[in-house]
Amino acid sequence: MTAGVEITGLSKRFAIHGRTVQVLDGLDFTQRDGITVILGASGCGKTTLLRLVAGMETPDAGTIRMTGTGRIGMVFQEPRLMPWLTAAQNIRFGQRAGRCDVEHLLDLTGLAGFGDALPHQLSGGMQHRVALARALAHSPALVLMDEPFAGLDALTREAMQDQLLELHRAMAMNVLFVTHSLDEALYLGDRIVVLDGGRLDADHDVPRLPGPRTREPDLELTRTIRSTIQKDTPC
Amino acid sequence: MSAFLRGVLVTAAVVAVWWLLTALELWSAYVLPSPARVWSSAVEMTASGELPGHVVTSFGRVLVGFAVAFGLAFAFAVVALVLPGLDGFLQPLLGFLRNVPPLSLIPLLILWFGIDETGKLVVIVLTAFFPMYMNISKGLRSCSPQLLDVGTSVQLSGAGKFFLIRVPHALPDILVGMRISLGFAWRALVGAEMLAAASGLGYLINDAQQMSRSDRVIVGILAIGIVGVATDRLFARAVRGRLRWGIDDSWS
Repeated sequence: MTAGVEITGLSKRFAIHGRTVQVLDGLDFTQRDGITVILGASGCGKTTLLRLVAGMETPDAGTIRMTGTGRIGMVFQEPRLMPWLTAAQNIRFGQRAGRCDVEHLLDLTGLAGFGDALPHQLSGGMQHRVALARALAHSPALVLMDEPFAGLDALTREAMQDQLLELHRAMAMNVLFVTHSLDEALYLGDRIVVLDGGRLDADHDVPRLPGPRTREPDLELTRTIRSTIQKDTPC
Repeated sequence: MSAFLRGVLVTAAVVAVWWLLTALELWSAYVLPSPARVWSSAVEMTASGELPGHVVTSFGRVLVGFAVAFGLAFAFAVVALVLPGLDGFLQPLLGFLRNVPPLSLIPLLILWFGIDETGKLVVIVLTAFFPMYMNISKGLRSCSPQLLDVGTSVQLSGAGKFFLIRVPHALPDILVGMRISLGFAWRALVGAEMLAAASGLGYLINDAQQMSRSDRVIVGILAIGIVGVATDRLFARAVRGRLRWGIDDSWS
């Protein structure tokens, strides 16, 4: 069971210090199956787009329609764990008792044996795993991820990326993944869309050879996307 | 040296100085009764059930007043959070009451309610209300929007976010307010009892003063201090077991 999202004419502006900033400006986008990466410079509206899809903001114009069935899960840039709850309680957060198999999720995210630890007793990478498990606890059909690995060191980040790919293979879900890292986008994405000026600027399918993914990206695609990003001035 | 041992040492030193001053007979036994005299009065008052009776009466008043004040403080803090417009109307009145010492109301309270329980209850409630109200209000308002977003992402209702995120997040502030209020309530109660009561530790002290029994006055003062410290310690101990994240050190 997977779900997607169909966005048409989406606009959102914010008033910051009396100045109006048009963050999204008539954005059209349709999620397809797999991992879609939204790439763009900082401040381009990537997070706003995810918050709109998650229902945490209301659009000024346009529509967001969920396609398919199932729930939406969200993983934030910071783990955002409840500091007074254990790892297991954080994973179960917001669920009725017995609705999710916490032990299985702890296993799946490499946290077996750490269910009773409080967040401050866990490393940064482990806290991110708990946050990921919490999003998966709802058996989401679509997972929104807002630069979830940006604050991690390089080795932990790579481990988390592999973990995500594994989980994506194991569970039937689509992923909408926001990042400003081109390397991350090329490694994780089945499709990469570039956000600029409040709209989608480019849309690339990432060709995948059968077998495990490599971290050596398709050079031609890298050059194409890089030139798209470089020609745009940061918003 | 353990904290307990240090406490015992300081107490022993104070009692030793006290004993020395009375042994030198610098003042009459009425002005400063000896530790032995105070001790024998304390034993006698405890054995007769007089002292425990006054302690229980005073403590009961504090508990009732404290519970009412907590209910009101929580309700007003929730109003301040949910209805900031209404809170704007309440703030001038609350600000006024906060700056009026409740003991100054006693003449009016005696006039209105006599010397029965209501007047003392009003004094305790007014004294205990503000530290709790301000801390609970601050705690509920300062909840991290990032954590509230998590509530939205797991589809919690408004009430779910309030009880599962806002209240636990505010718990350290709520408990600090409760601890301060408990001490305030205890102190205000004794004042109220000294002016208008027929029982309780404040009454005991006032009565002893009128009978020129300084030894009984000191027994009353010691009882107030000991019960106050014991209550605070018990509260701190109960809280330490509950707060598992980060503020342990401030709850010694």
